Amino acid sequence: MAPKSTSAVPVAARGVTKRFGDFAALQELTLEVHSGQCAGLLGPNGAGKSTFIGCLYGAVDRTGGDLRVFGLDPIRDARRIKERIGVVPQENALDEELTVFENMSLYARFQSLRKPFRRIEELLEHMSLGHKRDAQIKSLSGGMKRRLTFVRALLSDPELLILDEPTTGLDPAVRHLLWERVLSYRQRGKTVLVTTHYMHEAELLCDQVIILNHGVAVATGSPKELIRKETPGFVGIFDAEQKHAVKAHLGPDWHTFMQARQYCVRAPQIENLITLQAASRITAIQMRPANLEDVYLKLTGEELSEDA
Amino acid sequence: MRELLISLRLAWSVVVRNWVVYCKDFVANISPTLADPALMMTALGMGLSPYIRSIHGLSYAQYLAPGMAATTVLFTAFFECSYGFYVRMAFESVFKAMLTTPIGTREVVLGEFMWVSIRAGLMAGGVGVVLVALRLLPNPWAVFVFPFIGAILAIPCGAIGLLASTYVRNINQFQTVYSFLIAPMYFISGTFFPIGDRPVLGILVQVSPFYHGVSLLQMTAWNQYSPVRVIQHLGVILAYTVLLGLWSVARVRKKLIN
Repeated sequence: MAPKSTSAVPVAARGVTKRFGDFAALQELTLEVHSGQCAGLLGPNGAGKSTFIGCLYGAVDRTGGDLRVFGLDPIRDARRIKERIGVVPQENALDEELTVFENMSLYARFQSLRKPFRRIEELLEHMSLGHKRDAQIKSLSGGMKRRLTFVRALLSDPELLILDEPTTGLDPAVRHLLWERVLSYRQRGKTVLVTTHYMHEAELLCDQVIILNHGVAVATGSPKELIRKETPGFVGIFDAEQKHAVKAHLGPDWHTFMQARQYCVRAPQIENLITLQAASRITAIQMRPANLEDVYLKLTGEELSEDA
Repeated sequence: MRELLISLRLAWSVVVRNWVVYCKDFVANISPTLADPALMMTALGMGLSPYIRSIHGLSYAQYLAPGMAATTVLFTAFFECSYGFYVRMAFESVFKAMLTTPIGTREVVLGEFMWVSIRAGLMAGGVGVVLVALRLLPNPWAVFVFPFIGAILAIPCGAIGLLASTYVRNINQFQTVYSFLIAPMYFISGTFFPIGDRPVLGILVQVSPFYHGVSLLQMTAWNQYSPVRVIQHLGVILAYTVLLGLWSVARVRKKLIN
């Protein structure tokens, strides 16, 4: 059991394990999400992100370890936990036949909210859906449905917002709108836990990320820390055809890898890359600071070696 | 106690959800439950009745009448909890979203049972009104008791559907459940011919919860009460309700929670 001082911590996991028969979906996962923080769970499909999310509100029963949400155990107290959280699941699961307003009214009832109608109207406006109040769900676009799922999760003004791949498959405009809404929600001192495989999203929203691979946490820290620790420096991207010409001028501790059929060189300083261009007489396609995606690809073992 | 009240309120919100969705397609939803017994009464009651001598002093149409109310209950409850529930669970992911709210699997099952119970009760009452209008109920006051019998009979009938939903591997397999469980109950539970006093069938039929519901409706419709038999029939239905109800909660939980 977690010590008493952490009982109010929104999420505290100690050695959480989930097995499906012989398959371990989560192995000894330990993490904490503090009040007011935005934590990101990153990892490839099947890494255990959604399994962990499910464990938090009783949709998945963990098979081992200790898990507390606001100090409560989801296996025993799922309902009390669910009174305090909002969830945007991977699937919207809205009632297609109903109108936007009917749908939200029903969910307000599930949350036992009193006089929810003004709240619903406000949130619809907030998510730019006010004009769709009486539209049938099945007439909405994918982006609108997603925004409505956010409205649904925010109805009870939850203390903890759980987002499971919130922006997968959405166009950039909707994605930016949702990011803005998540940030403004956080600004009110609320806590967010998000799963994603968009590294840009994680860098933008999260102050702590946990990279999962095969159910194991392979790295934890702020995006900046992780980049500094795992893939420091700058990346120059070159045409794969010019690999050998570039390779002759690399520094001793530089790192090389392939990305989308492009030859990438990571050097400690941007000046190193500029010197490299001059020495090899080859201009890079792009030069950029190393980012979370580099960390992610390295740690999940998805980075292709330069021989690939 | 407080927990129970919260559970009931949440289960009621499941009923409201189903009602709101049901109303979206009201005519299509209500048609089979009313048309089927009407057709049955026309074909068998009016069509066949003149050729059959009386049963227990009743015309065949009068004999058949309460069974039609029972049949409506059976089909309403079974189809709602089998196909209806399965579609909500597997195709519409209704419960995935619902379970992110304070509603748990217990409330889902309780809500589904309350929903079919109310719906089937109202249907039984509706069929009762039609039967009274056709002067097929020797005891016309029975129409006020029909909804209550319908409501309690609906739960074991619905539970069979709900349990089937948790065992079938795809939606077509409900057909098997229908053919080997629901259809036999429908045809061989005293609905179409007296069965209770038959040597072998009369004993076998005792295991069918539907038979006990049919008997209760018949006793009411024909004004042939026997307190002992009322208690027997109610007891069996209640026992099935508890047994299948608890089994349903366990199965649905297993299906919805990983």
